[in-house]
Amino acid sequence: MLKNYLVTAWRNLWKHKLFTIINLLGLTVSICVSFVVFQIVKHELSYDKHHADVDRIYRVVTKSYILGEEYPNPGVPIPLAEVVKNNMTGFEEAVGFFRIHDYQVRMPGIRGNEAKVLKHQNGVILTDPGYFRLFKHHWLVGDPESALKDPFKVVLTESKARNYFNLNDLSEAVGREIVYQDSIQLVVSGIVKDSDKLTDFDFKEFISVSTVYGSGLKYKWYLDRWDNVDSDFQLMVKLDKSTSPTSIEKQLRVLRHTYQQGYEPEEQVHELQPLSDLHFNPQYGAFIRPVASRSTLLGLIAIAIFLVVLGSINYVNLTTARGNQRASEIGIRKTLGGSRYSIAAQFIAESILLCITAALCTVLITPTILRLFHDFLPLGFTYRWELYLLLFLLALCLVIGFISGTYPGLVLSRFRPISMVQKSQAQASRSIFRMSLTVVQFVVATFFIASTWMVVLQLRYALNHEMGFDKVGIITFFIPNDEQGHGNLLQQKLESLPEIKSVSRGGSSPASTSVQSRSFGHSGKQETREANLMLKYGDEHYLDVYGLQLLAGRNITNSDTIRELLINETFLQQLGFDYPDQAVGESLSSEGVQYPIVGVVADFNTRPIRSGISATAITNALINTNFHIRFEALSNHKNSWSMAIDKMKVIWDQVYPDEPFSYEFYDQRIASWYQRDKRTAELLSWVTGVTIFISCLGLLGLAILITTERTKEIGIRKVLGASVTNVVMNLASGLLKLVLIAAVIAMPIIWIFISRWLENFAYSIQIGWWMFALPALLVLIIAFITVIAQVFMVALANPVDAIRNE
Amino acid sequence: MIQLNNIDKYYSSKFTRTFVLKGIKLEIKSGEFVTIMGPSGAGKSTLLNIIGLLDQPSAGEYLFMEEPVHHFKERKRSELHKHHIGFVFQAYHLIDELTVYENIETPLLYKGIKGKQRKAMVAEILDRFNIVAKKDLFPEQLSGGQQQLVGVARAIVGQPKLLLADEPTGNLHSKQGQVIMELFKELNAEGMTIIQVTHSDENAQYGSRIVQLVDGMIRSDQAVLPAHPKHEG
Repeated sequence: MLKNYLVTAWRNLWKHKLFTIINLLGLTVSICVSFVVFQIVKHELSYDKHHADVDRIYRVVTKSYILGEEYPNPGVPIPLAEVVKNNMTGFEEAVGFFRIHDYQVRMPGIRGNEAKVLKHQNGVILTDPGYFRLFKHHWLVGDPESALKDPFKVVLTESKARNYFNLNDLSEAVGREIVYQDSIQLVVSGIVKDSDKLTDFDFKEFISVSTVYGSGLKYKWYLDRWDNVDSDFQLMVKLDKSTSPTSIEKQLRVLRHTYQQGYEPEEQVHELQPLSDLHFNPQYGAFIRPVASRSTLLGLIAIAIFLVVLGSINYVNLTTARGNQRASEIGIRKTLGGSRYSIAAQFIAESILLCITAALCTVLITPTILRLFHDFLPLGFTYRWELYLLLFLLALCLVIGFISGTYPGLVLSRFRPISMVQKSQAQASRSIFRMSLTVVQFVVATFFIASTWMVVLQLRYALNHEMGFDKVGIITFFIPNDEQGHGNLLQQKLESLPEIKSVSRGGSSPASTSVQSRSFGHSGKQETREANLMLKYGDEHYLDVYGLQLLAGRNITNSDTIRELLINETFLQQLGFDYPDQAVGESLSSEGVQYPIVGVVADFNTRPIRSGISATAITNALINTNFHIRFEALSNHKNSWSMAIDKMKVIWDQVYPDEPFSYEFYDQRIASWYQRDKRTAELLSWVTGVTIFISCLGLLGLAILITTERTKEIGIRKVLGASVTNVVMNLASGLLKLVLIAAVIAMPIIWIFISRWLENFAYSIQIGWWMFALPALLVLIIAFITVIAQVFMVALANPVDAIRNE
Repeated sequence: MIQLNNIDKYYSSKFTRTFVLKGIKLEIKSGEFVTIMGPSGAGKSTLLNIIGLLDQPSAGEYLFMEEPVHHFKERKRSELHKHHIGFVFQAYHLIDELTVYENIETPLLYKGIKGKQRKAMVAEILDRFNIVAKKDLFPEQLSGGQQQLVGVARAIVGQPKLLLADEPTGNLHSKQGQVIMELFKELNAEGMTIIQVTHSDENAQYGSRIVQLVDGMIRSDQAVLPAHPKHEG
């Protein structure tokens, strides 16, 4: 029986190639998108699933509360680790580890070879053997228990070992020496295999934690301070089978009480973050790799479902509308004893067959699609054929095939055999149900067009927003922290360059993602106010470089401690002054010291424009490792800037021969803040294209059907004197009405979504009616273009042919 | 085998009822070869469709093998189609997407007959009708007579008790028509009950009984006299 179904189905698909192609295109696109999304989701969900007892492994994290605001931190106070190990109950393993970022290693030469130095290394932790009990590694040389027992030992992964040493045999690495940061001398005591599974614990070097206490590292961290939480020290625990995370959290509170004087649970608590949350929680972050965004994944899944629905709608619509052509076959089958059920089953088999064909196309185009969308794929994503992918595709085919085959199957199998015998043909292409399916398609299409457009508008608005300072022709770079005198030398040399207008040293730029703030008090006439002030460290050139406008008072003078303040208008108003002049001469106090307000600057954005303007003060350069360079306006041309940059590099190399010169144009940095939004917009425009494509395919199919069905009617109309325009309008208006209804329905949905998205920005575009009207018009035009050729063809046909065609 | 009691078939519009069949009383015994005749619009095809359970009477009682089939739901009707009734149509109504072999096989598939037996049954019919060489062709590759031959083969392959034919030779020229009618006669001789609708007196002579239908009512119902096979009326 099944063979009979499939044979009929296959020959039917082959016979009506146009409709088969329309359906196949729609289904292939939706299956392909679902396939890729499935792989992305699967990839992100695969992180750290391979460890033993993953569901019992947690990271102890810290939540601090300052002035009602929550500050999450993935680290814990360092003494907590020992206290937990010795006093807590209900856990199998507790492992703390320190992280060092961006370090340098030196491998002393042996047997007369030259020493090897590698800078900017990453992926080291300092930990104890417990780490390897928690996360099993495959040991190539050495063993987990003894390798990290003693201080000054280091275990490497195979890849690192090969990177650091020239090895014939891995075991040669053991006993070799590595000097970290020119000061800590370690001996390699073991080699582990690099993990071939996806993991966030992708560390490459493991130093025995006892090294911290025997080396200069003990000054790097506050080893016995409870009031300091550093994300560089993190604590992992594996619970007993019978212990709940909440009971551990309670114990941690009690332990803090016992071991820390003056502990206030209102100020700081610890929570257990499940290992499964680690890869997704941006509050705490992961380690080396970026965390994945749950909402992005959900968005992708939603898109995939949307497209599957759109593709299925095409199929349902076209198949049911073509029922007339199949009516005869259905009738015959019924007289031969085919039940309604068996005929419905035949249609379902047919749609599953089509889906499987679409899935085969998907398999063919997926590598290309993945290459095309490489930038949207998560880090470390690979495309490998595995059984579960095959099963997924098969399941998807069955589900889509079943869902989209059921409705046509039920409708068409209802045809009574008599209708075949009597040749009476119902007009199958006009049914409320199918028209509403088309409307749904265009609601989705209009929604995506409008939202893409609004996201793009908002992005352009964000990039062109007047932030209150200059951002073009400015570059920034950092100098190394430790050599103060060199910074002055560099500054003098740079100031002598004719292309450079001014050089400022300080902290972050006016608008920045990194923020320093401090609490200040102001004694007014009646009361003393406390306020959190955002601080921008600069020198006397800071205003000059960024073109900030001084409204009253004078500029700050050069100093390496905080001495004077320039406040912004927002803070001026918070202090209760109406005019800038009033604030000049006032002073603010912090930790018992008075700081005079010497001037007031016009408001400028201090953060990406998602946030509003905070109360801010520009003050003397407590931090001065950030150089801000303003080029001469005369040379307002990228080429001469790059020449100036070449000159700067020469100067830099004289001052810092060992450090690379890496700078950034400030306007590009600002643009990079909206990278994510830009990607969203890009992705949205792709999705828009695809949804319009699928929907228009459906509309085209419907147009072809309606026109063929009405060929005779049109012929008669023309004989009676209807003009081509009349006929075209008559045909097209029915279809375009659907698109118009869809646009109307889409509007409130778009409005809700977009206004919610715009709430993320303190400064955003105003939603206007034309933002709905234009996309709706666009959809209408696209739909019109889609159907017009078909409609014209029928309208222009010789009416005699149509009428004779009986 | 078939008993129709006071069968009416009408279509209602606002105030009037248009009768297609009115007060039909008819009994057909197993093994009969009945021809239904009458002018166009007399209700012949409607009557045949009702007998074949493709259409339902508006009033009256229909007993098929002693069962009141006018009450039957679609599912039971399709059971009867499957096991007891074969159809032959004027327009052949072969499934265009299936080959000759597959067309003949389809009713057996619906009957749930297993592979080996099914093959044997189809092969036997192909052989009997001399169309073995055509078995892999599609309907559009056959002449009208050949298509109707396949139509008959398909109708009887499941060995139905009742064969219904609506103008089986209407689209054929006389030579092809004769072949089909001879075939019917042969089948009837083997015990199959046949009811055909036709305009042709000649074809009617192959049967054993003629029912004349005029304006939805039976005007006459008489046996065909074997003595004069050709010229009657």
